[in-house]
Amino acid sequence: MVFASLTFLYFFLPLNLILYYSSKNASYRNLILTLFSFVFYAWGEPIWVFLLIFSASVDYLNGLFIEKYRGTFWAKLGIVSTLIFNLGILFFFKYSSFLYDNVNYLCGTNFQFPKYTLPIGISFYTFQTISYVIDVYRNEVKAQRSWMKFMMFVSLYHQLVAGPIVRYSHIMNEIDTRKFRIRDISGGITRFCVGLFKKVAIANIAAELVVKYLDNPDLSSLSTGEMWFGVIMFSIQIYFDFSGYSDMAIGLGRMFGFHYHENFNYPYIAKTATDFWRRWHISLGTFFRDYVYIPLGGNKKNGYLNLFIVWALTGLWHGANWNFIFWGLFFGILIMLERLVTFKKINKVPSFFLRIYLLFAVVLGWALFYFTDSSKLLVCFRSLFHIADIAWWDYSLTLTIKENIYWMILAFLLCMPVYQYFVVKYRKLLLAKNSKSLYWTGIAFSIVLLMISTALMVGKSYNPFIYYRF
Amino acid sequence: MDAKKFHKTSALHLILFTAVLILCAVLFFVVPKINISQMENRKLTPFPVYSWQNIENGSYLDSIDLYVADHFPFREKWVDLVDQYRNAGGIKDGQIAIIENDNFTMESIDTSKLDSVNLNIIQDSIKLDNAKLGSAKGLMIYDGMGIQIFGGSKKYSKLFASVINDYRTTFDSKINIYYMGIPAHGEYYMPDDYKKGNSESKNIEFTASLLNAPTKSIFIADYIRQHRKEYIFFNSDHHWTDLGSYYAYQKFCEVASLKAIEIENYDIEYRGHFLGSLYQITRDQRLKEKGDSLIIHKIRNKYAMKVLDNQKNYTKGSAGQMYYKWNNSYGCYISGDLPFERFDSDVKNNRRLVVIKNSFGNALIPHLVQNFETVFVIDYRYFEGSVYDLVMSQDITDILFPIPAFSSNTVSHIQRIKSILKVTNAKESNHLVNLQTQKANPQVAIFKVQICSAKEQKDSSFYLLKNIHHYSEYKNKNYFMYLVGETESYNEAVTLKNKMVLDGYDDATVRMFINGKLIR
Repeated sequence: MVFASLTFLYFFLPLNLILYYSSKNASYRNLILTLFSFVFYAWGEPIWVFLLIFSASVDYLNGLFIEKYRGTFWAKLGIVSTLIFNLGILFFFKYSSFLYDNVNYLCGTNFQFPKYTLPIGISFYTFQTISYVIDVYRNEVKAQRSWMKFMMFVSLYHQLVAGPIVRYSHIMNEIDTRKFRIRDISGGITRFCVGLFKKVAIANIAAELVVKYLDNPDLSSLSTGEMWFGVIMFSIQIYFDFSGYSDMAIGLGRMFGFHYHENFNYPYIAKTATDFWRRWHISLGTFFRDYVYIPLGGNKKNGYLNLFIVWALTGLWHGANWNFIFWGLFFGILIMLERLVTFKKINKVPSFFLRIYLLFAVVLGWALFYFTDSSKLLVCFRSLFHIADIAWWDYSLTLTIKENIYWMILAFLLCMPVYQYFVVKYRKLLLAKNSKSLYWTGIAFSIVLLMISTALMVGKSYNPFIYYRF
Repeated sequence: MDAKKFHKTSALHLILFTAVLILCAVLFFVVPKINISQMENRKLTPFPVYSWQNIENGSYLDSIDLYVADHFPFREKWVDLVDQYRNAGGIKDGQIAIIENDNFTMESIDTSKLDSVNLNIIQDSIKLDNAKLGSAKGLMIYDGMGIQIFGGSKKYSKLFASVINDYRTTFDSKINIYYMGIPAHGEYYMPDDYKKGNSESKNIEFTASLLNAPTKSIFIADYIRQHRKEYIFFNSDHHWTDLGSYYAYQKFCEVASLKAIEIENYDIEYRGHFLGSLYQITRDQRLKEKGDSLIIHKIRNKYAMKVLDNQKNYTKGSAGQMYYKWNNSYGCYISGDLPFERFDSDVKNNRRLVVIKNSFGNALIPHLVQNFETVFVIDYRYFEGSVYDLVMSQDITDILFPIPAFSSNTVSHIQRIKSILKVTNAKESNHLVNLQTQKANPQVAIFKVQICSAKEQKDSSFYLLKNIHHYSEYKNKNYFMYLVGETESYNEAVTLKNKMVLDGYDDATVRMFINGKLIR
C-alpha cells in the first residue's frame, strides 16, 4: 500500500487510529500497529511479507545471541552471520540480475537469472536491522527481548517502504512506552498533510513533465532548453517525492507517539556537495558514515579510498545499475575535490556562487541518476551542453512554463526554508496573541491540503474512454 | 496561548481530521454506486473477484484501490477541483497550448491479438513495440480548437501501401478500390507561426504514389481547404463534422463516376452543444469554452440499416439508427463504432460498396448511402469476419478505405486492416507478373526498374544488390545503372517499382528502353 492512495487515507488510517486508541493497553496497541503494518506491506507484496517476518526474526535471534555471548567468539559469529544474511538477501533480490548481466556481458555467456519482483522496502528494512544488530554488538543498545516489539520496530508501516531508515536507538524507549500527547497528534496531522501535498500536488505533477520530456521516444529531438527543463523537473520530483514521504512518515509516527529523526533539511540550499549530503536523505548518509566509513578508518586511514568505497556503495544502494554507481562516485569526487580545496578557502567564496555550483552539480547528478540507459544518457548530456545539432529552445516550452509558472514558483519556494519561516512566525503569533482565528487557520490549512491532495488522487482515476461504442 | 487551550484546540484538530476521513469513508458506503461514468464514457472498475491467484499476484488488492478511486463519493466534483488546481498553477495562453505526449492516439486498438500479423517488414527495422505507439505526437490547442500533431513518416506509409496493394492483388481489377487519405485538423488549422509535426497531406500523397494501378486515390485536402472557414472540423473532438465529410464525399463521387447529391438536398437537424474527445482527455478550459454543436445533415433517401451481429451472415441483423437519437456528439453517426453494418438504399445502379473504416468514416457513410444500392460498413478495429468472403459472395463492385493519416501511420492499425482480408477457399491470387523471367519483344518499348546507380561498376556484393537474384547492368555515359524486371507494360513496371520501394529501395524509378537503348 502507499500513503498517497485513497484506500490508505480514508479506510486504513482512520481504522488504524480508532482501533489503536480504543484501548490504553500497551501490548494491545503494539499488536494493532504490527498487524496493520503487515496488512500495509502485504497489500502490494502478499508473498514477501513472509520474507520480512523471517528476516526480522533472524535478526531478533541474532541480537539476543550476541548479547548472551558478548565479548566471545560467538558474538563475532553472530554479527558476521547477520551481515551475511541481510546483505545476502539484499544482494540476491536486488543485485544478482545486475551481476548476471555484467558477467554475461564480460564473458559472452548467457546465464539467465530467474526474475523476481524486488520486495518493496528491502533496502530500508535490511539496513534498519543491520544497524540494530551492530548497535547491540557494540553494546550501544540492549537487545530487544520481545519478538513482538522487535517485529513492530522493523515492520512499522510509517517508514517500512520508503524510509527514513530508523535506528533502533532512536525509538527504543518509545517502543516500550509511548506518551499520548494530543499536541503531538495535531502536529503529526499537519506534518502528514504537508507531506501528502508535497507528494501528490508537486511531485506527481513534476513527474508528468518529466515523462513528457525525459521519456520522449525521440529524445534527441529535444532542444537544449527542454532537456534542462526536464532534468530540473526531475530534481523537483525526486525531492518532493522523497521528502514528502519522509514528512508523512514523521507525521504518522507522531500520530502514534513515535519521534523519528528528520531525513531532509532543505538540501537544495546547500553550498557544497558535503553540505548537500548532510541535508539529503540524512538517515542513509549517517548509516554509511557510522557503519561503513568510520569502521573502515574514516579520514584517518586511507581517507580517499574509504570515501570512494562509501560513495560507490551509496550509489549502488539506490539501484542495481552502473549509472547509480557513477552517480555515487560523482558525489565522491566532488566531496574529495572540496576537501582538497579545503573548506577554509571555499567559505571565502560568496554563498550565491557556491549555491549555483551546487545546484548545477546536483541537477547534472540527477540526469545521471535518471537514465539507466547509457545511450540515452549520452543524448541527454549532449543536449544539456548543446553539443548536438539541435535548437536551443522551443516555443512550446515557453507555453509549458507559462502554464505551470505559479506551480513552479511554489515548488521552488518550498525547496527553500520558506515554509519553515512562516511556521516559526505563526507559532510566535500564536503564543503572543492567543487568538482563536489563528488556531483555526492552522487547522484549516491542513484540511485544505488534505482536500487538494484528495482531489488529485481521485483525479488520477479520471480516464476518459473515447470510442463511440454502446 | 495557555497550555490548556492549546490542548483543547489540538483535540479539535484531531477530531476534525478524523471526522473528514470517516465521513468520506461512510459516504463511500452510503452513496449509491454507479457503474458507468457519463463524464468519461466508460465502465467503472467493479469490485474485484476473489481468487487465490489474484491475491497472490497482488492484483486483487490493486483492484480494490482502483475500485475505491472509481467510486469515491462525489467523484465528479473532485475531478472539477483538480481542474481548478491545475488552472491556478499557471497562466493559460488564451490562444495556444501544446501538450506533447502520446496519449492522443485516439483510435486505439487492442493490440494483444496482432502479434501474429506479419507485415513483411523487410528493410525497415520497425520494432514491434511501435505497434502500441500511435502517430500522434501530442496536441496543440489553438484558438479553442484541439489539433493533433502528426508524427507519421514514410516508413509507415510504405507498410500501409503494401497492405492496400495486397487487397488490390487479391481482387479482380473490375472491383474498384479507392484510397481516401484523410488529413485531420492540423492540415487546415495549424497556425503557420507554430508549425509542429509532419504534413499529413504529403504523407497521404506519398502513400498514394505507392499504390498499384488500378487503385484510385481520392485527394481531398486541397478541396476541403477551400472550405476551411466553414464548420468542417469540431473544436473539442478529433473528428470532422458531417459537413467536412460531405466535401470528401463530393471528391469521392468525382473519382468514382457518381453524381454527388447537392448539399441543399439534405435536411438539417440541430442537436445542440457537446464537448468531444479532446476535451475529455485534456479537460482544457479553452476547449470547454469554445465547445461544439452537433449539426446533422440528414439524407432524404429511403434506406434500411442493419447491424450485422454474425459476421458471416451478410443479410440478417437488427435494425439500426443512422443518426442515433440518444447521442448528441459525433457518436450519433451510424450509431457509433459498430463492427459490421449493412445499408440498403432505394438507389438502383448495380453498385455495391464495402467501406473499411474507423470512426472517421462514420460521418461519411450516410452520404455514400445515397449513391449505392448496398453499403457494407466494416470497422476494421472490431470486425472479425473476412473481407475476401464478403466481397466475393456479395457481388461487391467498390471498396473504399477512408483512413485518417494518423491511423495509416500506426502499425497496429495497418496490421488490423491486413488481418481482416482473410483470403479463403480460392488460393491467394497474385496478379503480379513475374517480371524477371518474362521475355519481351526487343522492337518495342521495354520498361525496367532502376534500383540504383553508381559511378563505379558494382558487383553482386554491393549492399543494394546482394539481395537481388537477377539484375542487369546498363552503362550510361559516365555511370552504371542497375535494373530489375523487363516488361512491355508500363503499369506492370510501376507495380514492380512500387514493390521495390516497399522493399526499401527508395530511389527505384521506371526506365524505358527501345532497342536496348535508354530513352528516359
